[in-house]
Amino acid sequence: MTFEPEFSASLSRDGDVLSLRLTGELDLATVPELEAALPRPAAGEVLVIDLRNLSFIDSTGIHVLMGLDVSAREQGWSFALVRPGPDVQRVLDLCHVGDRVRFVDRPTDASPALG
Amino acid sequence: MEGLAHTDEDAPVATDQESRRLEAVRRYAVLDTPEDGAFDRITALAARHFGVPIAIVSIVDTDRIWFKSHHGIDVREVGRDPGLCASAIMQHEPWVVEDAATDPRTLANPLVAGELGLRFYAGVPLTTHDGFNLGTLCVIDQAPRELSDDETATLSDMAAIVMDELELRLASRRIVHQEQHLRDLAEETARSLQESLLPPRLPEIPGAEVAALYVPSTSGEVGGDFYDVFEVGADAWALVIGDVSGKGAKAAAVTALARHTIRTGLLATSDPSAVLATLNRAMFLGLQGARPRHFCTALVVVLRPAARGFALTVAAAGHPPAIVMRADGTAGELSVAGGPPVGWHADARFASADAELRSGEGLLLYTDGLSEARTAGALVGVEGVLEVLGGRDAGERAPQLAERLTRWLAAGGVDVRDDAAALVITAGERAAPA
Repeated sequence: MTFEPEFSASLSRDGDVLSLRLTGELDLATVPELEAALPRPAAGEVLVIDLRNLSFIDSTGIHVLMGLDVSAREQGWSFALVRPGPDVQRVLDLCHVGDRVRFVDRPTDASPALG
Repeated sequence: MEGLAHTDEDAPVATDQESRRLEAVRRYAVLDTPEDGAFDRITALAARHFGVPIAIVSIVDTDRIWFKSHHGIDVREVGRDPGLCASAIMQHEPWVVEDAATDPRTLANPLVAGELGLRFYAGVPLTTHDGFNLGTLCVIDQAPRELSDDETATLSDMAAIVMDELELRLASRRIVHQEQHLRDLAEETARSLQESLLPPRLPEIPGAEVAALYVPSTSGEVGGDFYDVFEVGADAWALVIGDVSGKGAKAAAVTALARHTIRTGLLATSDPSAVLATLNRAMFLGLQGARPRHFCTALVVVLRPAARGFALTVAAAGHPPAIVMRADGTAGELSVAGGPPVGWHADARFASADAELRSGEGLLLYTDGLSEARTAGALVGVEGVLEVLGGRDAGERAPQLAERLTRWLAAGGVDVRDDAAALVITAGERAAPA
């Protein structure tokens, strides 16, 4: 049977902070939707991905987040994640994402002044 | 002027020219295909335009004339002998018989003299781009009539439309064939590539049994999963499982790099974390410019015989922990410190941890394709894998466990979306090393 995953990504901007809120399951099937929704931040801007409503992430999803960290460092913008629930956090911890990427509690906490 | 009686001039002569023409007929693969709107519209249009009852798109085969479209006549083919189309294809000009009953070329023809009473025939050859006449577009009447130069030109244009349609179909058939060929080639390449990423057979580890399984993803692309089992020195063995991000040939090349770097690395040091650090540098430096960036998760276990089974040194790079199957039938994750996936950043640090695999216990190394399979849309999860492996009886060894997993994956309703790989090892009773 085919399973239609529930996933959505919605982008908002507040000054220099671009915030992309993810809802549902991020996996092999929905990663293309995330990639299509990703903005291209300019140098000095902040991209914060809000994972609070994400119920699941697989390795392909983590790879996108890792790729964003690489791009941010190469292109001079900053990247942060809004802390997810425990299930998604467990997968991020497995990949030691916290060693490399800043976690915040709310998108507004990610403004450059506070970073 | 060719022979007077049509039967003389269009008898199928086995000349070179005719056999090449027949090859062309085969090439267009139109004989005995179903009736079809595109050609029926042209014959209907021709009949209406010329005010005749019958219009036909014919293809001249070895010994018959087959009608791709037959407007106004309920016949799908006639013998080649009496067929006027067979005469029409012998030249490159429209072939017009204004009154067949008086025309010396046709007056003896059974279609003219017989029941059908054909009197008027005008056929234009359907000429391929390389000059072969496949058949005709013809219009037929039971009364004699004339055909003006303008009308002849119109019939020729309609025949050209028929031929354009045939050429288009041939071209799209060719493209479909070429695509199929390319797909077959790509699949063949993918298969050999995949085989080269997995060891052809697993070595024997004294005092243990090892089994592996690999399930390709439903997409058919080469996945990035790999596993390996090899000796790393006197009485020491390595079990490796890994997953490179991405799919296809590029991911396969990175997979080969990862597998061989780990193999070579473990010849120099038996510390799995040091090998992961080496692989990280190799991938980070070697693939810096690559887009998209490839990452690799891996779990490396070095086994050495110990008093009651094996001593393990384990290091992970962003990889799901191994699952231990205890002698009492329970199963749980073997949590170890590790590090991030390799290839992400240059200053990544990796840690190794010690563990043990006692006689009667088993260990499962797997890629997340296994835990992220779905049944009826719901994620299997680590819990699902633990459930499949739980309740193991002490006599069940690696091959049976791998088979149990394979059966479970093959069972209806389990959807493996990503490729999945697993290695199982069970420790038997063995004499303590000297």
